[in-house]
Amino acid sequence: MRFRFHGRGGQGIKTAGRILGKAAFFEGLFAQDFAIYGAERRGAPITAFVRLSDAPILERGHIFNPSYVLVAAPSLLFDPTVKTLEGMVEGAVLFVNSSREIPILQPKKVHMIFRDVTGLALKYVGKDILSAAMGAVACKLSGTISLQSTVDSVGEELADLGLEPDMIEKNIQLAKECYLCVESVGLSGLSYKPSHKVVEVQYLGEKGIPDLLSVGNTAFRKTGSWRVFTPIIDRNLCTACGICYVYCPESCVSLDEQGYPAVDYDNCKGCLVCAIECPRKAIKTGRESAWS
Amino acid sequence: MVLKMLTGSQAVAWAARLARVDYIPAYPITPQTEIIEILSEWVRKGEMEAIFVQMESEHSLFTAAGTAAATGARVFTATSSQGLLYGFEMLYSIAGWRAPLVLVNVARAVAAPITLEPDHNDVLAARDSGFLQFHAENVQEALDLVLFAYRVAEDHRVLLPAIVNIDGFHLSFTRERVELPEQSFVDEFLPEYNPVNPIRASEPVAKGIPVLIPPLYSFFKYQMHMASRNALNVFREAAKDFEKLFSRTYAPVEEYMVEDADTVIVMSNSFASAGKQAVSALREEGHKVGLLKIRLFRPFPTDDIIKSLRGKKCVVVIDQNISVGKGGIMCPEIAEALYHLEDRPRVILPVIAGLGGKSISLEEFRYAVRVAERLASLKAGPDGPLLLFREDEAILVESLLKTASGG
Amino acid sequence: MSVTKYRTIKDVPREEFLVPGTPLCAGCGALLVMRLFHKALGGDVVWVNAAGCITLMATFPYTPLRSSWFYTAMPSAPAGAQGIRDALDILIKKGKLDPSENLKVVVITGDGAASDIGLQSTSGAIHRGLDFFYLCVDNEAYGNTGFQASSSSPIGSGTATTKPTPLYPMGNVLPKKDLFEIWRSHKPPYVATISPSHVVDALRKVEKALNFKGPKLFLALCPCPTGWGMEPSESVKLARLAVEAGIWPLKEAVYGEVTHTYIPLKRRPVEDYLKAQRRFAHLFKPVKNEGIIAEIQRQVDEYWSKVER
Repeated sequence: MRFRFHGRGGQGIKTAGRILGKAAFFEGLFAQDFAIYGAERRGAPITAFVRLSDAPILERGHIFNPSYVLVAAPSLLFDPTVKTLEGMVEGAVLFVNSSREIPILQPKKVHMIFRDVTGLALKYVGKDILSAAMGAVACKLSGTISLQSTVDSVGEELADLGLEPDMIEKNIQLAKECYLCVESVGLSGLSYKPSHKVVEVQYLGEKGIPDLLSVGNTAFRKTGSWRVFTPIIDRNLCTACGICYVYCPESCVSLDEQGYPAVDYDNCKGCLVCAIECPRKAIKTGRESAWS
Repeated sequence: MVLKMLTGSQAVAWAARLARVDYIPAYPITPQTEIIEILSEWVRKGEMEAIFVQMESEHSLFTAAGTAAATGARVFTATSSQGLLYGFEMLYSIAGWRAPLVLVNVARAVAAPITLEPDHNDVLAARDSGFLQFHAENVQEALDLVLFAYRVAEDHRVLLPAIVNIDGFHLSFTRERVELPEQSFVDEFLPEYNPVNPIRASEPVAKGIPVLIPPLYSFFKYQMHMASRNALNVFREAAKDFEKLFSRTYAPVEEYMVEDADTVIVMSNSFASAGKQAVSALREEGHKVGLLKIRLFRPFPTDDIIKSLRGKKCVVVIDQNISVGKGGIMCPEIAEALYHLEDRPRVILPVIAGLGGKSISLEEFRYAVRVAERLASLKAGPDGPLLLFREDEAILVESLLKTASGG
Repeated sequence: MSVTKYRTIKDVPREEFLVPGTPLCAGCGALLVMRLFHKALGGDVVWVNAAGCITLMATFPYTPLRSSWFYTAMPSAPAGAQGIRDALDILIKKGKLDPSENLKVVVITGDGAASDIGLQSTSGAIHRGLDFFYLCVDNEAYGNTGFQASSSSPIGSGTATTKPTPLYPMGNVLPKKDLFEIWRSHKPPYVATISPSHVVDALRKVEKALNFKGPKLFLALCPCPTGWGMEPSESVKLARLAVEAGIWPLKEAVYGEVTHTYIPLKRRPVEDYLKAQRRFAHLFKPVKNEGIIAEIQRQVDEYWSKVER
């Protein structure tokens, strides 16, 4: 079984994978877990991988043919650079952290499950940290890992991270509810036939030099999808003092001719420095509504 | 054209001056110092219009050299041995930036133990960095190869930095008769540097940025390889132009009595002169011996090597370096070039000689040739590299060890 | 030099040189400093970078900067600046480049590059009188590799390599290296500390530095939500608290002569600053370590006693 987790830095996706790996290990399975986090930071896309088997595992590295894909941040489904659905074939399982069904363009019969585990995390832990939640969901989906092994794994992995006992207990409660909120789905006849034709690389001369001439182009990345909480400016309270504009680290606040601010929601990461700094408390914050 | 008695250091300094370099960042290390002393003096006297800046380390010196070349200046610098290794990470960076500058390495064996005389472990450590490598045998070649290096490195089909290697003491401090080229001829041979994506106000550019996508990294690295392979033909083109202007020329390899030889010694750099002398002596003794000198080491001139060595009975590769635990660095590359030939040499003998500047005598060359020929007649292969070391040297070592141990 | 363009926060220049969409953490103090610094510098800039968090603002094929960028290597960004400055100078002098193509050369590094691996290169560049700006965004650890201690990490802080344990209850036992004084000892034209919270102060300092030829060095304390353990929204608040507690003095030195540009009238207790961050949590839990907190307060008080005298 191959699991691929997609989430954002700070959501605990690496730990979710480790919870699954350790729980499988407790069940006596062969397991392998690792995560990829390169340049990206808190809020940026992160991928974690877990392989489970009853025999030694010879595969390593990226999983291109997942049996299960678990998406902690649903906005990633629409990020073309992340490729959340890559390699999913008929019979594979897609879990998305969302309270409502999200229409996903995919021709194959992928089994889709939608649950709002962020809501559960906020209820039990008070933060959008999903290591225990996503780990427990994956354990249950596998169909081979008991609740006991799941709980043991959550306890051990979070203790390794230095969490306080009361916080671990809250996460165990969260894990239990998440384990119960999904049903295991049997995998049927997964067959993956990638098109991996080998080609010859052409010499591109000066164009093959890693210089960037297209400067100031990161706005295409649309980091607005990183946001969990959204700043909302109340024009009735705003005095156009410009402080939110000055302190936005990301140049995401612009001022109109009268000096009133507007937020670039395509790119605002939701750090909320503007909300804290606003002297009139004219910037409210709300949970990103699209997925809750 | 003027004839002069010049050291290798003076010759490469002249080459930099004739190439009208813009920028010379420097840091002193024996035996490279004479080069930067001369250049700094010329700049201070106003005889060269360039900036000379003394940096605080080779690491910084390479960084400044690389960014200046990427900004659009023609850059010259020089180092040696530990200095090359101290700045080593930047060699890969400069090559990856595709910044064509010329670095003279004055070869000196690498510590520990620390020493001053040459072998090629320093320059060959840079083998995989992406720098082109030109290896000079004599002072004239040292001067000319610096001009070649600029011409090839700056060519837009190539755009890679270059190292010109000259052996410490044996070339750097040795004076020989040199034809000093006319400035106007050099100007004709070497067009002005035309940088790609230089740094300037009107066209912002981002350079050296991380490439974190594995296929993209793979792509860019292989582009460098293909650019380096292009340098072989660019070198040959340059050689034709050079010959028209200066009535002498260079190929990626040089044959010495190879044509009818049964056994060919392969060498590079200044000790190849001693090799040629030994070949002449062995010829007089009736051995059909020749010598192939590798002048362009990166890109590796596989085709030229095949052309010279196919059908020979024995090849003796004298590596003036040692990859500890394996043997010479050059020998496996020569063997790989010849392996697929039907008429490949029967024996390729790996030989280690001249480490730390140890001389190689006629007797040692003769010994190596005999070992190779005996293996050929026995249809056997070598056990491992052969170290050329003489009885008089063994006695010397023994007595020095005795002194050291207080015995 | 007596007249400044920057009187209030309203005077912050509107032109943006950094577009949104960087891959840096939400609430990154370093990014805010860089954005404001660029506004004060104006355009025609080439940034020369050493390995650090900021390196990752540009990853192929994206960069948020509208100006030029050159990532060099961790130890030698100032040397990279030397090469660019010298190349531009000689090309202009030789008539190969139009003077309108000239650029301001600005080094940007984290504290690890500035105080540890790149200190030699910085010292060399200052000593040579290189005409450049240096902006060190100091988040007090190697943030890019997961927040290990640097020589800029403050005493008592927990980092990935100075975790508090029963054997080492205070976490980091070494003092923060005084980079301001190390730089100042070279007597460059201009050295200053800045904070992302005190924007007008920072802009005025860049404005002043623009008048000098030679090394102009800036040290900015940059809150790091990820490494410091606080909410991204509190970045500027923490930076302000550091200034108000006297932990981060705002000052400048012109040819070595120090002036404090802001003296907090009544300093906040350092405890307020420490307890707001997870990296100091071990000083308060499970039992409050009064001794270490008092020692940190004593060091701050001692510093200011010399300033105020």
